[in-house]
Amino acid sequence: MKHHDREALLRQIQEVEFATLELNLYLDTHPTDNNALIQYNQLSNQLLMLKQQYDMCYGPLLNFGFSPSQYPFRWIEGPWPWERQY
Amino acid sequence: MSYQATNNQEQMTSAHYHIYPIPFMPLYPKLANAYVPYQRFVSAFPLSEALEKGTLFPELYDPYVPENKKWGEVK
Repeated sequence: MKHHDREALLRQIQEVEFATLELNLYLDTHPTDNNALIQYNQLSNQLLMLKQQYDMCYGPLLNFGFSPSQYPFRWIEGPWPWERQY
Repeated sequence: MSYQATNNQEQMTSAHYHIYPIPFMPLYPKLANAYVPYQRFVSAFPLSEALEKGTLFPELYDPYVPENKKWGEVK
């Protein structure tokens, strides 16, 4: 794994997620721009991999619907955003 | 992923739906009508820069600087 740093991985997820959102908005009005669509698809795949990687290393990113949880339910584990010390 | 399907779909629709179905600006703009120039995707900021700047598209990056904005002034 390239990312041992939790914050760096979160930041990378934010960056890729923002770029996919931007391309989403562009594609709403330019649905046949294949170049933009190719980049959107690449970034979407990258985003999914990054989120799965985060999930595996540090626990769930979302409270429900994205990934199953080990026992006991891992969502309630800290740190919460206001307890960040990593 | 099926590139074949994409090509077929393009062939089917290309007659009336090109990559840019709308011109950048109308050839003959009408008076008293407002137009928004149609964006064309040419380049993107590096992803970390895009997040900082709040847009992926260099052509849309236009931070507000009060002293530069005077009536009638072209940037």
